[in-house]
Formats: sequence, structure tokens, C-alpha cells
Amino acid sequence: MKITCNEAVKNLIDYLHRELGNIERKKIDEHLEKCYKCCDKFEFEEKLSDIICKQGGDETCPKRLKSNIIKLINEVE
Amino acid sequence: MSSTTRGIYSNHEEKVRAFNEEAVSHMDALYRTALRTTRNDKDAEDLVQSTYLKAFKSFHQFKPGTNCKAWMFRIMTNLYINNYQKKARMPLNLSLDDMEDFYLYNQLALGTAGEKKSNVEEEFLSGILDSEVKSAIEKLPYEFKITVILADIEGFRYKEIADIIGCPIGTVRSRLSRGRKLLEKYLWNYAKKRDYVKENSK
Ligand SMILES: [Zn+2]
Repeated sequence: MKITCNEAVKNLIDYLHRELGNIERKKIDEHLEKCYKCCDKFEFEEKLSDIICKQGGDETCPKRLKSNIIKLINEVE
Repeated sequence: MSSTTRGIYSNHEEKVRAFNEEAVSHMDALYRTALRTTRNDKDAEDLVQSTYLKAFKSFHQFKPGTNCKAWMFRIMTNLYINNYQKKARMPLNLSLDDMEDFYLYNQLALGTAGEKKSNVEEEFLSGILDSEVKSAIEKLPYEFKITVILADIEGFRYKEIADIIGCPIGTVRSRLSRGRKLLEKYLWNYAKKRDYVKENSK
């Protein structure tokens, strides 16, 4: 069964987070194969998700804090 | 209550060893999330440290074989709500304007009336600065922010996020969707400001 652009976009968030069932996902993939506009849009959002993931949290825990926590845990009775 | 599903440790050393094996590897993830939520180094360090101490004290409640990262995040989000959020608790009163269907993509397409240049999106995406992504996330209302972080940065499933923050799965979905739109709006505003500054310094 074919879906409309609106229906595809309504599922964008679940699609991006791989939370759709196989049937739902397949419906969207079929739509994206045929619809240039939605395909472009979904690709854009996927790339943005990558950017959020990579740039939104690239810090590492300070070594000093790490060793302090490990030391504290050892001292807990 | 079944004791067989709980971690039982015969002595302190064994408990410390098991805890180190399970929990210590999640420190970077907890720290960067603490940074985004508290928005400063000192509070983030305190929050991560309290999380680890609390987790160690309740480690007998952790069921070996289950998701320790999710368990640690649940402890940290609870601590944050109880100790930090109270100070800065703000009602979630977003204007209608914030809730419009806002996707950067639509905005980019609008800006190039008619024939859309094929590289306008690529150009936009590659222009986004690290600092803009971080402050856009930090600017989100807490409920949206934590959901976006857990899903998009830490890679948790909807179900896991629902368990961590204690809300229904439908709420996770709607917060992600609304959070994403707001985030895109902030990014769009940063980009406009950045380009404006660039234009005027020519
Ligand atoms: Zn379409």
C-alpha cells in the first residue's frame, strides 16, 4: 500500500531512530525510492542526526575526576 | 523479590571489581550528558561523582546482565532532577511559535525560491559549528534536552529512555519530535547570525 508525503514525514522521527516495524519501514523506503523530495529531506535529517551525535557530546571525563571517583569507591565501606 | 537476579558479592573487593567492570566505562557518556544538563564543569563533575557513589551504594540492586549504562543514567537523571533542576525549575510553557512544524530543510528550500541549488543543504550542514550544536542542545527545555541526548547522542532505544526518565514511550516520541524542531530552529538562528556577522565584516 502506497503512502503519501505527509504520512512519510509524520514517521520521520521514528524512522531516524529505527523505531519503526519492518512493514512500516518498508513502506517509507518504497516511498523514498520514488519521491525525490522526501528522499532529499530524510537524507538531510539523517546527516543532521550524525552532526548532533558527533558534535553534541565529544567531551571525555577528566582523568582527575575518573581517578578520584575510583579512589572514593574503594574507600566506601 | 527474587534474590537470584541481584548481584551478590561476598566481599568489598569483589563488589568493587564487579562495579569497576560494569560501571566505569560509562563515565565519559555520563560526564558529557552532565555537562549539557548542568552547563558547567564544576556541577557536571559533582553530578557524575554523586552518581557513581550512589550507584556503588545501590549496586546490589543492579541485575547483572542488564543494561548498566541505562541503569547509571537513571540514577543520574534522578539526582539531577532532585538536586539541580529544583533550583532552575521552569514551567514548560513554550509559545505556539515554538511548536510550528519547523524543519531546517523546509527553511533551506524556502530560501532558494524556485530551483533549489543541490548543494545548499550540504553547505549548511558543513557550516554548523561544534559550539552551536552544544549550545543549541543546552538551550532546550530540560525534558526535551535529556530525551534528545539519550536518543541522539547516547543511542538509547525509546523503551530504554522511557525507563530512564520514567515516562510512557509515546512521551519519548513526542519530546524527541518537538525537541528536534526546536533544536533546528536554534541552529537556524545561529547560522543566520553567523552569516550576518560574516557579511558585515567583509
Ligand atoms: Zn514524498
